[in-house]
Amino acid sequence: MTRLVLGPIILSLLLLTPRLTDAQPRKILKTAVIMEIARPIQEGALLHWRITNNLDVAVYVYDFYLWGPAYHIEQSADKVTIDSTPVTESPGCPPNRFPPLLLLIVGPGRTIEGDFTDAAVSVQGRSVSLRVAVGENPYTVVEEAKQFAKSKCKHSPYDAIVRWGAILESNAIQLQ
Amino acid sequence: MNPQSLNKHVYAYNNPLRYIDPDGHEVVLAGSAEDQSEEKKRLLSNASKKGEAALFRTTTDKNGKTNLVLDKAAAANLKGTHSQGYNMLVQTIGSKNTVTVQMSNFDSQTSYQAGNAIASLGRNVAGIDRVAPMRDSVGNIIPNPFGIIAGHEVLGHARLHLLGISDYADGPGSKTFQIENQLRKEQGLPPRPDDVP
Repeated sequence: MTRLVLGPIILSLLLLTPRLTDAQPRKILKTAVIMEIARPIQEGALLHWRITNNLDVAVYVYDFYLWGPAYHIEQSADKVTIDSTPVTESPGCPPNRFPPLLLLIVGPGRTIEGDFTDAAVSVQGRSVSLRVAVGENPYTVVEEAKQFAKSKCKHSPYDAIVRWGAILESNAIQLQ
Repeated sequence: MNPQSLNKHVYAYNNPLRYIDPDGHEVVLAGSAEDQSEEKKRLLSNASKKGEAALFRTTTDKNGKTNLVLDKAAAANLKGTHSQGYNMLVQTIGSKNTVTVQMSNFDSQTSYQAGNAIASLGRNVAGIDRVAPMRDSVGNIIPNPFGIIAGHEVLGHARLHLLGISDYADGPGSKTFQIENQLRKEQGLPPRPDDVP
């Protein structure tokens, strides 16, 4: 009898648990990992970025487009938002080439920094900000991207990055 | 029996004109006039034997759609064997289903709607090619021209879909990889390495 009553409760808890644990780190990451941008250090670069991890565990940044060129650019009359990552899931077929899924580690309490370069991005007096994807678990995302690439277009492999990471946006600055 | 005789591609290569549907002409070039011109240029670079590219032209139908069509009279006068890129393009045009070719602001890809396909071609060199160009096993850069990418998407993924063949993911041994490498060989380019994602 006890088994009959407890069974559905335990099953419900098991089903709920992954959602709670998935959502929690993402919220924490968004507040405990800080990204700031400033004018570039290297000549020819567009901006300088700095990512600080205030957690007591390492975090990982989706790295492939972090140094430029941009994965995607969102533009309005007064602002340019540069995405170094996909920011929303967009189901679709695999692209002609899917880049190696590189992650950059930021140790606990550590800061990493670098310059972003993309000659094709024109800011022209507008403010600019940068978005990155930051996640805690580096083990699952590569495998999920591979699975998505074989999903017969139900998911783009890029969706794995969106599911894995918290999307952080930097401060916006005026470059010119 | 030669098992290759059952292969639709080989069959089509041997007699591609047979696949032309008089009401077909179903390679639609979408977007602005500039986009259409670029799409045509990229596609025709796969008709790589002398004189083949000149056999294609564009027409606008009553609905305002721009179609890539084969000038069949001129084609009949071009003797000899054709490039496989040409044959595959003729077969795609002759399909009763439609491939819509459009420009994309990011990478190139093909998507599918029932029996039809939409091939999106990257407007600029995709980020990945700027950051990590294709390389062979000893590190030499392998050219990845726009025309080859168009061939991969339209003559590979899209055409195969029109033929009822599922080839929705790239990877070593995929049919589209093999087609891309046929096109590369005809154009004197090194093959796409199997380990390039």
